[in-house]
Amino acid sequence: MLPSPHQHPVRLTALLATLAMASGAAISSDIPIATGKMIGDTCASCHGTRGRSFDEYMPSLAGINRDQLVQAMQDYREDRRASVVMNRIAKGYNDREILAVAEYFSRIR
Amino acid sequence: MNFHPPLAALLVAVTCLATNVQAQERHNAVPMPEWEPAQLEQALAKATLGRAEEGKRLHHFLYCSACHGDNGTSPSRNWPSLTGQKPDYVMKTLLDYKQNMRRDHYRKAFVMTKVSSLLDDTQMADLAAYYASQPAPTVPPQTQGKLARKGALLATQGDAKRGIAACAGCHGEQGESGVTPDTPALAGQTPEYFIQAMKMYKQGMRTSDVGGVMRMFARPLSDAEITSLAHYYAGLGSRGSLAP
Amino acid sequence: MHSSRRDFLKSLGVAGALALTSGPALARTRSRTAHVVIIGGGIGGATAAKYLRLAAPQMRITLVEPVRRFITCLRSTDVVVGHMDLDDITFTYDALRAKYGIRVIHDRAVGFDPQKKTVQLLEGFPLAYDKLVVSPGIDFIYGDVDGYDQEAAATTLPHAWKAGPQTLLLQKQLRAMPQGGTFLLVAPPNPFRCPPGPYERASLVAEWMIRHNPTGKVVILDPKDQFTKDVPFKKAWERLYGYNTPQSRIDWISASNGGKVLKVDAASRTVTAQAGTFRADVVNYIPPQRAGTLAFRMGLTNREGWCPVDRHTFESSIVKDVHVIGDAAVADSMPKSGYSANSQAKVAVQAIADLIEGRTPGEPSMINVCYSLAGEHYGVSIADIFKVVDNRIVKLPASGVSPITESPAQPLLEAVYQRNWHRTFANDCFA
Ligand SMILES: Cc1cc2nc3c(=O)[nH]c(=O)nc-3n(C[C@H](O)[C@H](O)[C@H](O)COP(=O)(O)OP(=O)(O)OC[C@H]3O[C@@H](n4cnc5c(N)ncnc54)[C@H](O)[C@@H]3O)c2cc1C
Ligand code: HEC
Ligand code: HEC
Ligand code: HEC
Repeated sequence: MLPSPHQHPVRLTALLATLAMASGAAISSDIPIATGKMIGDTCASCHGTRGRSFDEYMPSLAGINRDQLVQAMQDYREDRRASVVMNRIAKGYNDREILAVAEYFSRIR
Repeated sequence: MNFHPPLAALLVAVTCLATNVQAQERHNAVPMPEWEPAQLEQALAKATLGRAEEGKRLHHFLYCSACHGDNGTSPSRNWPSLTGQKPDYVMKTLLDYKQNMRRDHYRKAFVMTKVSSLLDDTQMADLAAYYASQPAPTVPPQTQGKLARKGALLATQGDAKRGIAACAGCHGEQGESGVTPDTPALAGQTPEYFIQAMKMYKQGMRTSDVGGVMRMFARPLSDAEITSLAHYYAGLGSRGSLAP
Repeated sequence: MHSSRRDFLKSLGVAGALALTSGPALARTRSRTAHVVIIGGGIGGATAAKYLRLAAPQMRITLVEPVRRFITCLRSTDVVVGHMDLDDITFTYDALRAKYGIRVIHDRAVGFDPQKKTVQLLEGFPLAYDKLVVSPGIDFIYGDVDGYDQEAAATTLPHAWKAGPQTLLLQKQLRAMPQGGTFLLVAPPNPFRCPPGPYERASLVAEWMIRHNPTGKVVILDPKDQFTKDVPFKKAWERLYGYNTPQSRIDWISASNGGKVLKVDAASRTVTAQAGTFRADVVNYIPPQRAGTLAFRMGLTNREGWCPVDRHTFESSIVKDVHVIGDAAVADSMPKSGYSANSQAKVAVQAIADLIEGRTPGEPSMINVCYSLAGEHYGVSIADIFKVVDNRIVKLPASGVSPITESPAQPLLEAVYQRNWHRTFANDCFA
């Protein structure tokens, strides 16, 4: 039988490397990160294409104030802000990535 | 509940307009629940008996905080603030949702229709007491000053020609909440939410206003006027918060 | 691997031998004149078409998809239990055409020439491409178990694992079930499309029974000992369906308890597993899966029947200038879900736009979130972020599964958000 994606052991080196990337603290600035657009486009499945979910109860992000988005993501990541799903998502991003995605959404009209 | 005399007078004038809205609604073939004043009075009997401490616990336990913010002041443009509201209004609006009077069905209000189904009267009163105990919201970050100035005139003077009473007459001089305990405070309210609420009145989708008052006032307003009113009231937040 | 399955894969022809193509010097092709052809207008393909347009306003983009009205699998179990209609999960290509200027050809790709860089269509003229995106989804492996084949699936033991006629057949069978009957769900082995899907289906059928068939029962035969989100799923089953009590509406028979199926008799709806023989009134047999047949025809698959790719770009590691995304692609720790297909499409789009402009492809970043309903008002979710490390897609270690709490609001909100997600997601792909 083929291995389950969920049972597949993630290689330790890879895991450690990503752990370092994920934690807000020790980030070496030469580890490449995705662009704000790349990251932002993957949020779109919930927040709408280009963050434009204005009619929905999943909040819209288009044109959101940059610092407000940064603050929100950091608060979610550190479990300082209550949430149903965002605290789990925010844990996947380091500060540089959060800033990049905040720049992206804040520039959308 | 006591009706303020001008409000009672207005209700008479409102009736014909309300039926128009109703006709539209019937066209949509959706039943439209509305409050009978006496029935509302009874429903709100417990409104001022809530325990703020228990309300605080529920606010977190039931994830109200995930949208409305840590203490009921909205963290962003995406949700309304609940702080600074009188308990009657909050309790009433939770009943409204539960009874499907804010039928923005598949959009924003749907979530509240679902969430309110978890609450009984006591819990609603507790939550209401908690929000009332918290300081009113201050200016939301994205308020636009220029728009606000345009809204000020309409809010304080109304427009007699079009039958629009001054909003301040009911919602308070500074939007700090109103003449009756179930008239909401508007100061510091999230402008995006304010606009949504007015549009829902205008379209007859929100039927929670007793006698159709707000539906009547919202109907003649243009989208631009609604936007300017929203920013005017949002801008009153800082001052509103100084009020007790 | 089962021998019949190995023969089957071989018969389709694994094309490791296919020569790599050199292709024209891409650095000279500019997005203005480049032609990107996308085969398969499902979740992955539709997303790729739309996002390519957003990235490159002038590019020529052609989408090849046989059906005019695409029925998504997402929420198709809601159709089975009557919460939604097939129309609610059906999407057209109108917006891709009108709003995004995509040329949509309703035809079937039947082969391609990687040297000349052309795709052959069943009816139309061959299409020349600079870059090809393939998102063919999955097909099923029949013949693994005696007595179960494609014919049985279409007529008596539907899998309903591609939305369409079988979804309605399963719905009809459920409604026609005698009181006190058994709904038997045979779960597939890993890897397969929508890992939480079988358990969501078992849940919603159990809930349906509370109202319509109160003495009915759901039995899951599983060739695995674990499944995704099993902790919150089982908690929900306890809360809603008496799981772990003698009255439980759901029985989950894991591999260790003999859940592996040995043979099937379609006519009498009898399934023999290691644990014994089960006579059921409805059998929802979900067979093992492999990449869509087109991927085999094109020689894009490996020995296991999936398409290996460069994880930074989703370019096939077998054929150059062909990007494979979605269920068909090998994506390591990423589950085969619509959300994954959508995320992967966006990574492929970034890579294609960069490659066409002669740039080094940018760093990928992906998300997968699977929302499932354990009941109409009870959602569970898994949310993960993925990065590429050493050409492997790695799931970041932060925990992704819904926590179990005592708050009734938590699963309710997940269920409410699930509906919201379905709308925003479908719009993100098709509108
Ligand atoms: C019951 C069920 C529930 C699900 N629920 C969810 C969910 O809630 N969330 C989620 O994220 N995922 C869900 N999924 C999974 C999701 O449906 C798939 O992962 C997703 O559709 C994969 O996208 P894809 O582009 O790889 O394939 P598909 O969406 O299947 O698209 C493949 C397309 O290729 C076309 N095609 C095939 N051969 C050819 C050819 N020769 N020429 C041209 N076109 C061709 C097909 O017609 C089809 O349109 C669910 C699946 C099931 C079965
Ligand atoms: C699974 C769906 C989902 C995904 C994916 C998702 N979000 Fe969210 N987001 C939510 C929900 C739901 C909320 C409301 C808070 C909560 O309950 O989790 C939210 C809230 C937010 C907020 C707070 C908005 C405000 O008005 O205060 C921000 C900022 C945010 N998300 C950013 C992001 C970014 C950036 C991404 C991509 C990296 C992302 N989200 C991905 C569902 C999602
Ligand atoms: C998922 C996000 C979400 C959650 C969780 C949530 N709300 Fe709301 N709430 C909203 C939105 C959005 C609106 C505005 C809806 C509308 O336009 O009618 C709203 C409106 C309200 C209002 C009416 C405000 C007004 O001025 O009329 C009250 C009161 C309220 N919520 C209370 C609560 C309480 C109490 C809880 C917890 C039991 C809660 N909410 C949980 C999103 C949420
Ligand atoms: C006759 C008294 C009266 C006047 C005048 C009045 N309102 Fe209201 N307003 C109410 C009452 C009562 C409600 C609560 C209705 C309900 O429960 O839905 C309300 C609700 C609202 C709400 C919804 C608040 C929320 O939190 O959801 C908004 C926004 C609003 N009014 C704006 C205005 C504006 C703008 C004007 C002036 C153009 C105005 N009102 C004039 C009595 C009045």
